[in-house]
Parts: sequence; C-alpha cells; structure tokens
Amino acid sequence: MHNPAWRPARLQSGRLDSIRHHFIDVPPVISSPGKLRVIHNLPVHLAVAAGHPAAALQPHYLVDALTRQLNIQTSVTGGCSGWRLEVIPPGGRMSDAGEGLILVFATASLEGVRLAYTGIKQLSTTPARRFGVLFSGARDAEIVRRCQERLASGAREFLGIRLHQLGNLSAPGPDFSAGLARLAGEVHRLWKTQSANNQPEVAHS
Amino acid sequence: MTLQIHPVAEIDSSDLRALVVDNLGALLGDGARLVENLPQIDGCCLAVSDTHDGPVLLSFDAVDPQQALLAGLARMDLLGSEMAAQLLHDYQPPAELLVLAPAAPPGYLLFSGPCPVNWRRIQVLSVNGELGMVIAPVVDETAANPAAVAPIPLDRRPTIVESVMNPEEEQHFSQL
Repeated sequence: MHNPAWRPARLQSGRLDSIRHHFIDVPPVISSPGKLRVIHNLPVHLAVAAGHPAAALQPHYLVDALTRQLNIQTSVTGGCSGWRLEVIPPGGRMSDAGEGLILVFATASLEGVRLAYTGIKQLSTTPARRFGVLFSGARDAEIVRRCQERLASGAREFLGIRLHQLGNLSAPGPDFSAGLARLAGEVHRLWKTQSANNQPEVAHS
Repeated sequence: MTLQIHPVAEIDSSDLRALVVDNLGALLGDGARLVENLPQIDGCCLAVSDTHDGPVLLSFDAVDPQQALLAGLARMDLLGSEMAAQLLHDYQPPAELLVLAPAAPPGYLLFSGPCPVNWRRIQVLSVNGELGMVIAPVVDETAANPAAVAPIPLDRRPTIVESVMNPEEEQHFSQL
C-alpha cells in the first residue's frame, strides 16, 4: 500500500513533467525509419583571446568541422545518435541538455589560458562536469605545453578539477584532417566515459 | 645552523588545534582569545573572540578546505540555535565563520551577509622537528575588486560569483 503522503509528491511531479518543456531544452529525438536518433549536445566554451592569430584555427570553423566529424565517425561505427555543438554564450549560461562534458577551445597564450580558467570556474559550479581543453594558435609545442600546464595546475589547485588535455589543433592544412579525427575520437571516448560515470564529481584523470 | 623545513602532510587534530590556539593573535589580531563560556566544540572548531570582542568560530583542516568549511557550517548551525542560547548565560552566537585551510574552500563566497564566511590560508610545517604554522597575510580583496563590496543577487550567483579571479589565482595566472 502506498503511503498517502506520497500522493501530493506524485501529483506535483506529474505537473512538473507536463510543463518542463517550457524550461528545459530536451535533446530532440528524431525519428528515422526503424530506429530513434538521439542528438548529443556538446557545450563549447570559447576562450579566444583578442590576439588569436588569424592563421590559427578559428572557433566557428572548429565547431562546424568537429560537429561534422563527430557525426561522420558515429555513423561509420553504426551508431544511431548524432552530435550538436553548442557554443556557451558569454556569462556562462547554458542549457541543461549537456551531458556533463564541456569542450574548452582556447588561444594558446596567457590571455587564452586566463579566459579558459575563468570560464571553467564559472561552469564548474554545476556538478558532474568534465572539461576537455583544446588549444590553437601556438608558435610551437613548448607554448602549448606551458599553456596546458598553467591551466591544469590552476584548475587543480583552485577548483579541484583535473582537466583532460585534448592537445593542439592547427589551422586547416595537411595535418588538419588527421588532427580533427583524433580530436573527435577523443571527445567521443570522453563523452562515453562521462555518460557511464555520470556522477556528481568533476575531478577525473 | 641549518633549518630543516618541510611541509607536514598529516597532523593530529589536537596538534593542529594547539597551533591555532598559539597563533590566535596572528590570525585575529592582538587580544584575540578563546571564548570562556563555550564548551569545547570539537577537534576542528574553536569559538574565539577577536580584538573587538566579536565572537568568531574558527574551523580548520590542514588538508581539506571543503571539510573545514562544512564542519564550520554545521557548528555555526548548532551554535546559532535557540538551545545554545538557553543553555549558556550571556550567550552570543558567532557572527563570523573563519575557515583555516591550505586553499580556498569551494563555495565559501556564496555565504555573505550578516554571518559571513571568510578564510585564511594556512600551511603546517616541520622546522627542525618542531611543528609550526604559516599564515598567509590578509589580502584586501575589496581593494583589488571593488565589485566584491556589493552583495551579488542570488539568481545571478551561479554564473558570475566565481567569474573574478582572487589574488592567488591572479598570481598563478600572471605568466605562462
């Protein structure tokens, strides 16, 4: 027999369920012959400095290219899901449709690192976030390494967050396709791990 | 004479408590003292009076800032209850919680208003075998960040309260 005290709660939850579409962006489920196609939202925080080199990878190019690559790799592996990258607007507000993984795209410079850190700091107030950080615009590998170390040590010390390094992606050129495919694979792997571990924790190795 | 100084990874709570008591003046100014009419709260919290006789609750942990914050909040809740006022003569609940920890406790900025939460960075060291405590100097954050003076509206806190770097972060991110 149900506890009568539960009845109001059930009524309330039914009411909330009926109106939640006004407030929550639910990942759209797209019908296709024979199977459902679920869209995964991947929030992207852009930490692009004012001095972001024109010859470096540009943020909107990255968003378009990575969306395409993630969807291609998912369909090749027979998956029935799709991807949509959602740039987080300034101020850090984002829909609740993300699944815990946030991509941070940063200029490989001190200003880019600072922008990335403040963005992560804002976004880490919500639990169950994992951050993958991608740099672009570095003169050489040493700059990338220093940016990664500075950002990672600060996030670890001040926020208790261990970041996942996604490396550096240069502007479109001979190596871009391979780098993009590697990035998409890494993002997909991270997303799968995050979904499996979907627990209120932000520090991961 | 050579000084052998190294950080202490683990410290007994009674040793840390003794260090905090020994350093009350450095933490809260000359004249700071233990509150006499309060019973011992527990191993990680102390009720003290600052130089202006203001009641302050100290909560400390040599390793875990979050544990220090949570323990302090729980004790503040107890000490603010009506039961405490009934049990103790001339009782005045703490007006401030001061967290002593090696790093800023996550979320402490969310507590402001009539009963604020502040924190001081401490580090326990062994100096030639003797325990000592380093207390970081107070940084006037409001001078560096005038916006910190105004209370932040509750509905905006999740997005902007952490958007400004504190002095430690500024220092860390001042160079690559």
